Amino acid sequence: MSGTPVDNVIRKLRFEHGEMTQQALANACGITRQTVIALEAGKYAPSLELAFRIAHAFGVGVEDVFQWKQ
Amino acid sequence: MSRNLRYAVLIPLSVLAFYVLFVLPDIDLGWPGGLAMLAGAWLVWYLLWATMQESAAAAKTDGSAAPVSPGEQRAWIGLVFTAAILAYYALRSTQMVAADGSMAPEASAIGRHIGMLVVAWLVVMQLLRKRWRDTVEQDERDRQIEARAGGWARIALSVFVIALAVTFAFSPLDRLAWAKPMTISNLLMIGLIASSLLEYLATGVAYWRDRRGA
Repeated sequence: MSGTPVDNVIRKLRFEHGEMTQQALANACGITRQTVIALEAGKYAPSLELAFRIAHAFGVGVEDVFQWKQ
Repeated sequence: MSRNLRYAVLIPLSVLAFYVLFVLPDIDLGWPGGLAMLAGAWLVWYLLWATMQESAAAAKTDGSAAPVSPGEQRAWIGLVFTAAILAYYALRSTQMVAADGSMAPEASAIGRHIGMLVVAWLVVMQLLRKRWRDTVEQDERDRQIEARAGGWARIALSVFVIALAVTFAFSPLDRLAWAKPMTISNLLMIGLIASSLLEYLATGVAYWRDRRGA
């Protein structure tokens, strides 16, 4: 899977939330740790449902986590 | 012994064990010899498996390397077993055809060996599922990767079937003497296994590419 047009700040948000581990975020969203790694590396664009799950795990809005690359 | 050295010894030994057990014509070594050969082969495969598990556990503890997901493990294991089944089937398929084109008596023994490989595959997957009990085995990304790989396999199988159909439709009858019932049956089975192999390969490569750049 190559780069996606969707950018994200998941790594930054994890560190702002008590250095949450990738595994903890994966467990909170019901995904594998490898998917968190792919998301952070910008190699995977999540579905709308997963984007909401991730935003919910951080207690922020979807637009605070994901941005469309200009 | 270092892990790399163990791989260097065990991988060729595993291939050799497969060759001796499945490819070489059956040799009568008596029951002690046969049992020793079977036990030796399974021991080598078990040691290779244990070394791979050790590497996976080390990567998990280390944390620096991206771990191999259950989906990727499933793909590589599937690739190894389908490759073994395909190699065995392709090498022995001629022995399954009798002179009149029907099924030869050796076919049942060959089928039993393939069945043994399938059972071993199921056992390995069962052991892995126990290990993955507390983790998410598959998510939307895994399903997307599998769907894409499935698409590749479907295209490959379609091309193969069309090529076969065109060959039968447009070849003069005297050039189709090779196409005996059992030969066609083997050809179709080989095509099916090869498409499955391609699916596992495409899945494994997709995971590996993502992991490499992470």
